[in-house]
Amino acid sequence: MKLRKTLTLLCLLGMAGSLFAQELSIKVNENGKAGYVDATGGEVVPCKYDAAYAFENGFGKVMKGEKFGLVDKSGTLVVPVSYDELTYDAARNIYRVKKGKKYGYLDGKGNVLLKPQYSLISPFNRYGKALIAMGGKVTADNKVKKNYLVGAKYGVLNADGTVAIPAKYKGLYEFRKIVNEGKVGHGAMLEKVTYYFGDTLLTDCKYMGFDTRGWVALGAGVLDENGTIVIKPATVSYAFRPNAGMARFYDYFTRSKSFNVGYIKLATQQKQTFLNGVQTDFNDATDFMDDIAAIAKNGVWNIVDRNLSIVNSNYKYLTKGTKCGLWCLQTADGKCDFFDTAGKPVFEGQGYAGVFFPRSEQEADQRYIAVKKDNVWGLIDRDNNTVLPFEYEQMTSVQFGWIPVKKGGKWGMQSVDGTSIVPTAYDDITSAVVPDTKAVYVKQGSLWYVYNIAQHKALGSGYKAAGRFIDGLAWARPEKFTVPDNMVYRSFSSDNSISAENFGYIIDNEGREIVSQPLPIAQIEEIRNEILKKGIHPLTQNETKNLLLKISVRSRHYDLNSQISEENWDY
Amino acid sequence: MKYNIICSVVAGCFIASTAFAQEEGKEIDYRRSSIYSVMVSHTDQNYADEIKQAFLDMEVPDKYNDHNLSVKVIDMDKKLKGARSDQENQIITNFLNQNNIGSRLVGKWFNRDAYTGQCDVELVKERGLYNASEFDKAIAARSQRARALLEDAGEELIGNTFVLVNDIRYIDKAQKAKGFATALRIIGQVAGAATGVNTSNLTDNLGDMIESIKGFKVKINTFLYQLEWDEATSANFYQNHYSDTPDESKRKAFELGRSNYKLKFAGKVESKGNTASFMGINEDQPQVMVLKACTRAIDENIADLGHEVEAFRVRVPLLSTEPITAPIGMKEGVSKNSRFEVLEVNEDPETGKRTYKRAGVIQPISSLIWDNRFMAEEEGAPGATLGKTTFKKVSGGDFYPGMLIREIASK
Repeated sequence: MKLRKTLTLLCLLGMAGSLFAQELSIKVNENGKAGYVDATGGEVVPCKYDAAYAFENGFGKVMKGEKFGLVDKSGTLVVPVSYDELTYDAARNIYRVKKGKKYGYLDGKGNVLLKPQYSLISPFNRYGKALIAMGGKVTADNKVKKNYLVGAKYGVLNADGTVAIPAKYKGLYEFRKIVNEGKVGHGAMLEKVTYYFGDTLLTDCKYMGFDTRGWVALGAGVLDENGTIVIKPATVSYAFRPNAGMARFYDYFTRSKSFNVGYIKLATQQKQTFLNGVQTDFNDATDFMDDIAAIAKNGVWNIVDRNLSIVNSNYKYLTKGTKCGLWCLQTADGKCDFFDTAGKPVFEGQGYAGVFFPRSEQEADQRYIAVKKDNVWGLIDRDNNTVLPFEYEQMTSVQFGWIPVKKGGKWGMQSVDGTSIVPTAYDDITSAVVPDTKAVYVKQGSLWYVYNIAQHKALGSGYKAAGRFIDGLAWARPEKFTVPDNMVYRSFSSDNSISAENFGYIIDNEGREIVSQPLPIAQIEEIRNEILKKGIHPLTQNETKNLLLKISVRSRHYDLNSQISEENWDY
Repeated sequence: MKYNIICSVVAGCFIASTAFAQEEGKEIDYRRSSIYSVMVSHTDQNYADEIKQAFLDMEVPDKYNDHNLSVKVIDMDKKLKGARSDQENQIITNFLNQNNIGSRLVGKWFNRDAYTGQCDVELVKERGLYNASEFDKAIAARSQRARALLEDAGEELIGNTFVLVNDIRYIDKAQKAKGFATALRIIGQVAGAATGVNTSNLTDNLGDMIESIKGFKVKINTFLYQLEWDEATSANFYQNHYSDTPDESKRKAFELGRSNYKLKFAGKVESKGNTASFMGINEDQPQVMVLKACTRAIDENIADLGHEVEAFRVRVPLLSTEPITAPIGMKEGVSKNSRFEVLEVNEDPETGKRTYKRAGVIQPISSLIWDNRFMAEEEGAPGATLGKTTFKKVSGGDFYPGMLIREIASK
């Protein structure tokens, strides 16, 4: 009995697997019409369609005329043949459909999820947001070879098909223009861009700008992710992306060409101005971080709270860690006060008089701060523990776990774990520019050398100037360096002149010269891509010549009646 | 026993279905012709630079291999005499001959090092020596089969190397567009005041460009030459010029013998000179208008040359047979009147030589012709998003995906 039950179950599973694996097959009859048959050849969907496509998601797509629909395995037409386009998005288990010029969505079972009334639905971005539009006229932009809409109204769609922001705004803008990156005034402003078919939204759409004009973000209002107005249009000229319930703003006055600077409290729409009639580069105030912000007034930095009351003042300089969540305000005499994002003082009483915050955005780097105390530098962590002792004449920022240090008048590189990466033996040193870099540059006398980390030494020749290593290659120009004067080299310049400063060799991170003939520095990216195609190796004379010809092809031209000399030919 | 048999049957169902799914994912190989495309730039004309840049921006059509050499643009400061004639143009032929283009195309096929004379067959393998692993074994064994495989590929690949010389002239049909330019200036001034950025200069330039560029079109005469690669030529190359190691004597012999590698004139077409539809196109982007006009005209000429010259005609594989579809469209000259033969490929197991036999004839369904011309999608042209053309069978037996199709000449 037990065996019988087991066998029955196995057969059912097998049959289910067979049915699952073997969808209905397409059949085309003698009249060229398509339908579906089952495994025995019995017709399940009559051959009456102009085309039939393989089953997917349990449905077969059928076409009649130029319209599409869906049939299920029983032959039922679950989606009428009425759509001009019908495409399955397996990642989201939804069908993107088009009727006439309108887009919409069906769910995975073929039910209408979003009625086809949108003239545009963008692909979803990594935050699960898509741009939707109603109305407008399809227009081609041939510079970028894409279409866009003129005169449409825009909104935002969530990944589950619900509308986050209804498509009723002629102007809908993202906080995507980053200003003052790495500086104290770092923030995101609204930017008017053209959304082309196929483009995605860039941000998480937690806040969006909006207005009724659609051609410039100046004076736009702000919506939150539910479409609620948090700043009304024409309240401010420029609003920065809100943070901690506060939005930094700048009001511009055309007559005086000056600005007022302040903050809006989103909860109350209360607008408070801190600076009046100033010229600005948006680097004189910070966004709110939790409970505090900083504003520069009359050359002095002030810490303010949510009521814009000054809680600390009289600072000459402000340095902000990009991601480490710390600020350093320095008085004119060099004394440093540190604050966290809640405005709480940190490192109180330590007497620090200089700081370098981590430069990279790597999470692991954010713990380490280089500080100066009693005229020497050391490295501390966020808990004020000493990581590298206070014995260095100079330090700069931690970058990918390494920090340039100066001792005995010479530069070297230390790891945050105390390992010596480069001994303090050089006149200057560059920072690591990528994680796990294989090489940095060290300077001896007037020349720069490649210092190979693994081999613990400077390799190869010295160079007067050099570029940074990317993918193991860099340009470098030796002290004595000449560029051949011929048509190929002259073609790199618009006035047919040759300047040695525009050329260099190509080296790898072991100091090997990969190309020992001058190549144009301006085209280093193209050169690097060509070399990487066949792997990094010193190029032969022939390979170098062909590379030079390839990157100069756009600028060379010849007379139809001429016999062109061999230096211009690759084969 | 019964239990075990049933389990096996069940397992077999799963295995069979998986195998079916894997077969559908197989890639389709086929040999393409190779082209070297060069332009004659008329420096006496307006927009010579823009046309040159547009030509250099053009991609090699995806149905052909890129066999371009390092010289792409040749200048003339006047009209090309005899450009409109259907006959071979001696000025162009002289340029190709005195610059030994034929030998350079051969040099590229074998990756010839100009300094050492060393060659290899990697490009031949990449473009069409399907039995590459067989070839490597044959080379290692120094067998005749290696030579036979290479020669088969050579015949179909190297012999199908073409040069296209495109004589491009601009046709001026300027029209005024003052109203639009004025509107741009006003918007620019308002935006400039709000942001503190002076955009008035920018909109002045845009206005001027619009007034002079609207209505741009080109006329292109394309001359087609084919590399001569017969038995005598290939034998001479392999015996006297090919070496897989540096060889000074063979290097010199090739340099002295460059004129042995010849091109023959194969045909010539002239573009219709229709103004490419600029429907919906922004008028303030003249460079893209130039690119579109040039690309459409050259694509049209390539398609016409394919109609005239059988060896140059495009062959593509069938993507599916139910319905019958192929990745070819209006760019290749497909129209409702086109007829295509479906080719069955047979390979001689001894020599590896491939031959083609007609297995049937198909015809495009007029409402399902893919408009894959340059920027057809941006234009909103019907059929631009199809991705392939659907055909119906006119005659023949069973087809299967991977069979090649080739247009039947209607002239």
